[in-house]
Amino acid sequence: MSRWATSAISFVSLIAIWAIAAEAASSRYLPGPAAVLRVTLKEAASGALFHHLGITLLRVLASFVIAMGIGILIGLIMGRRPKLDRFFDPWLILLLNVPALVVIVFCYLWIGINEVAAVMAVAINKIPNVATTIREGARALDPALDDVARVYRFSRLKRLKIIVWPQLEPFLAASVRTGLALIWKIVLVVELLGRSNGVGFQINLYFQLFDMARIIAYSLSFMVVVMVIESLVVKPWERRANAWRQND
Amino acid sequence: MTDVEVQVANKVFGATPILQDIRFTLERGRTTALLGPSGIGKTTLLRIIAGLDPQFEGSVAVPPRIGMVFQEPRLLPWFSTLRNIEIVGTTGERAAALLDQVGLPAAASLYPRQLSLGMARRVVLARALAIEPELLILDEPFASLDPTAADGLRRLVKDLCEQGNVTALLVSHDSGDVAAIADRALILSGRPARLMRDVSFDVAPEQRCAGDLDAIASQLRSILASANESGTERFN
Repeated sequence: MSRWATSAISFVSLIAIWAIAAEAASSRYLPGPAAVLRVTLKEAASGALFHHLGITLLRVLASFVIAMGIGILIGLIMGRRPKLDRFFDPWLILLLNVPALVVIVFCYLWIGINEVAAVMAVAINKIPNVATTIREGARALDPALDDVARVYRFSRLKRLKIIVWPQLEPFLAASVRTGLALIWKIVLVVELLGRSNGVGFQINLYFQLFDMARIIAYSLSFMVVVMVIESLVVKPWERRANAWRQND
Repeated sequence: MTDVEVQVANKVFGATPILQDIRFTLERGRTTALLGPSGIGKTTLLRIIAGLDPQFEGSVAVPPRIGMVFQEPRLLPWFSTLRNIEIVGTTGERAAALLDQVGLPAAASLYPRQLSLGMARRVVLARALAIEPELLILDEPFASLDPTAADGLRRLVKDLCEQGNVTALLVSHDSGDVAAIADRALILSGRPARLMRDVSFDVAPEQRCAGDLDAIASQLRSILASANESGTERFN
């Protein structure tokens, strides 16, 4: 059986189990797939679904860009400067272990319940992970290949482009993938705690209304969006960045 | 005509002196072998000459275009063989012609991990030739190759050196190789390493008969044997 067929059958059986369980429970707290699809279409038709999906996606994007930018910078510096690395390593370990919720609360209290605080809270949660991954990459840079750049007098730019970048790219791709996975989950919590729109806000709203079908509708829709981004953009990039390592 | 001028007064690693008072010049178009016991600092000296190690007392004057065949090939693993040659600044056509010249016409699209060590060294030689080097530095180019691969590469290097367009500096352990290729041999010995002998051979490499080769090789072997001894003495 092909991999695709296996995946398809696996997916269909999951939906089937869900449908059977919902049928058996016949409770408002466990709506079946058909009921969820119905409210999803209703939310989509009213435009609310896309509105909130769009806002959450923008927050994901903004935090992602900030976290990657700062994380890459910190990672490169720590990876290349052993003294700074030794000094700041405990800070990084501390940051890695601060619970997401604590960062969110701090940001809202210090910056205020606003968009900047929301985006920063998410970004700060992600920065240490990016920094750690990129630091590994910067440490792994092969000095033997730098010799080639020096003997053949490559310009700085050329050296970055053909010697440094290909070595860092797999680490970048990995931190983009894990970054996306982490950030979208935290964004929902940030929205739940201090925003009046977005998927996280909607989930909180329907939680208070005990509207399980809509909670599932919003969660699943956003999960689908993230999974599409991951499988169409991030995974292919990561595969390409690692292509030269694989045996054919 | 002098092409390369090397004056290394002192080179240390930490507190350990490695090279001391090594001075020589290389004449354009000639092939010089650098010999000495293992671990004596031959590669260190090559790195200094190639400009890869600026931390030494002294001065080195070299022509602007240097090609280097490293002991480990140092190809960029993410590029094809052809691209690995192109990157030093040549066209795809010329890179392909060079691959042809080193006997690997079919390897253009292969990646470094698909090459044997012998093939990789040939590609590295092609890369070094791509910049049309005035100085070609070869660090044990025939080491750890099977006899056939070593023979092929030896012939290539010999032909290159005989054309006389390039000043070559070759590190080798094998006095037979040196006898077959070099015009001159520099022998390092001691700790820190100094220049112990500087031997020029009378007969040009391409005109040497079997007897000449044997004579040169055995001369080198006896010099090296005494270099080994003196090296051990100083080390102890």
